[in-house]
Amino acid sequence: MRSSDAEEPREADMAGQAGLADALSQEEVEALIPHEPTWRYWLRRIDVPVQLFRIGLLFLLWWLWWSEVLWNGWDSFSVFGVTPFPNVPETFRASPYETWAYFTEIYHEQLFWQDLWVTVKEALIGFVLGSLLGLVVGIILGRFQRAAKTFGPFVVIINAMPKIAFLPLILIVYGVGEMSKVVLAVTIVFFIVEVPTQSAVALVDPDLDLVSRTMGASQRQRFMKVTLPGITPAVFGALRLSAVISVLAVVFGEIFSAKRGLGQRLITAANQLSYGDTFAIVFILAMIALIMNGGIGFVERKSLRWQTTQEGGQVISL
Amino acid sequence: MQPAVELKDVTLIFGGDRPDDEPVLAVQNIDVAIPPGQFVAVVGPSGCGKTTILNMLAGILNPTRGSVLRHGQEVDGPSQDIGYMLARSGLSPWRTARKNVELGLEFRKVPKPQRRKQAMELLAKLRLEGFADSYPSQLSQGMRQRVAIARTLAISPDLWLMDEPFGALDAQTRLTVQAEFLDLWYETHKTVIFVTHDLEEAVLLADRVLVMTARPGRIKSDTIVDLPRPRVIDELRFDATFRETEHKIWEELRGEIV
Ligand SMILES: Nc1ncnc2c1ncn2[C@@H]1O[C@H](COP(=O)(O)OP(=O)(O)OP(=O)(O)O)[C@@H](O)[C@H]1O
Ligand SMILES: [Mg+2]
Repeated sequence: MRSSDAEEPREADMAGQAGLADALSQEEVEALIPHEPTWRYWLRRIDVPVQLFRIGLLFLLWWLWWSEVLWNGWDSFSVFGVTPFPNVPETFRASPYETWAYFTEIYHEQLFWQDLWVTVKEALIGFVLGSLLGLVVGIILGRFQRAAKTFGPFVVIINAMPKIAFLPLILIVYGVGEMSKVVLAVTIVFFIVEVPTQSAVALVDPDLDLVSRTMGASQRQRFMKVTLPGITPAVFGALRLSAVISVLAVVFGEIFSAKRGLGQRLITAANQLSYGDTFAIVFILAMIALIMNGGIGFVERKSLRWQTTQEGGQVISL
Repeated sequence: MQPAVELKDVTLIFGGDRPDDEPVLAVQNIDVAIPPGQFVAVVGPSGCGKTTILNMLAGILNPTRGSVLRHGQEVDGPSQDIGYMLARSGLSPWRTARKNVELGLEFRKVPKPQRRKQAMELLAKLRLEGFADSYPSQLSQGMRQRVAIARTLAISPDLWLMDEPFGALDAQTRLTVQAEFLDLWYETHKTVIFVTHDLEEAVLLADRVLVMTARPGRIKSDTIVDLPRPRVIDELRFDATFRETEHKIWEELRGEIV
């Protein structure tokens, strides 16, 4: 709370102007604010109804899984001859117990940690390389109209192709090792970052750029102090998405064909009808994506502090 | 004395270079010389080319014909000693008020402590020192405009180009900001070209008022405002000479806007 010239004692000139009170002093202002007790503040921060609902949902999901309601589909329920919720045969069911058993099993298994590391490494490298390339190309195409005109159609056409379809080719060229997974992730992540970056560059506040130009800013300075901060919010949005997609691409590649990695583990377990294991691996993959997402969110909140002060600019997190 | 700013028979046409593009004659045969230290206000109907003239002076538009001179030198490209304040303030939302004011100084690679000192001095003059660390989204419209003034003047420009700087302010706030601006100018006495749609503002602040015709913009009249300085603008509004001058210029202007 700021108040510019409110420091004078109150009684001093009350007599002078009948009816006109002096501005409140800082202490009086403080006294007027309904001070929330700390416990009530935390209660509000925590937002009890939301938490209760979350916990309820969690229990519901857990119950669906535990009680096997999840697997006992409604075979009799069909629309136009299609059964959307078929029954899952006993052998294919994964119980929470089996899932947990897998966790305890792999904890001591060195090969598991190696597989985990392979997948994390591929996903991270794919994410970093793809995002960097997308960022650089997006900035160049956003900044230079002629470049955008020249390369634009190619970007659009390649983006329209399902990159997954290149996987057989990528495997032939780069082998079944880690390299092919990284390449697949890069081709997908690239576009997720390139497209929003390019449009964000084109949308950077023209007034601000004009002001900088008239102040004699060099190209480099305009880029560093106008363009780059201007596109940051859009870029972070794209990065969050591409982190998750990078994990997805890598796992898909591993399921398709790989020597090592969680995707390979997953498909092996599935082929052996160890569905508890597959469930456990899916949870682990989700953790990887969540941790990457959280890391980006952390950097985002640090660098976009100005935005969280704006209405509606809040970054929602867990 | 050599004029600080001179427009010699300046004509500017927008577009028309492509086959499907109708050319727009924005300003035509502008001839005006402004001595150093003069405060010149430019008024005229909307779309008559006021912003266009400022853009030419700022070096971001070239005249189609004629020449734009500063101290006898042809203007080519932006120059470091011009402060240009746009109608829309165009602050950086990711910079605090102080960092916004420092922008031009950063471009000039002024060392950080000095930058900070200069910015804080200016903010203090505009009564914003308590808000140095606030972001634009946390400031009122009038405060943002004052930050933009500070940013424009932080680089100690030799020529001040102001494009309707107070247009978005309510009447009372405008009066305060005008007074603060006038004080800042009086300390330095730099050359000012001040575009406004508010005739009262023009006469209150300026030494000289140029009235432009509707598009294509030409100089319709050129009036010296003979009021003493320093001016106390909230009093001056009721002064007889002021009223007379404003009325005289209004007669010129009304023909263009009705
Ligand atoms: N980039 C442009 N391309 C084509 N025509 C333009 C361009 N900029 C301005 N014009 C035209 O030039 C004329 C003068 O524009 P300008 O912005 O200088 O007017 P102004 O006097 O500043 O008006 P206002 O008081 O509304 O700000 C207008 O009629 C406008 O249509
Ligand atoms: Mg204008």
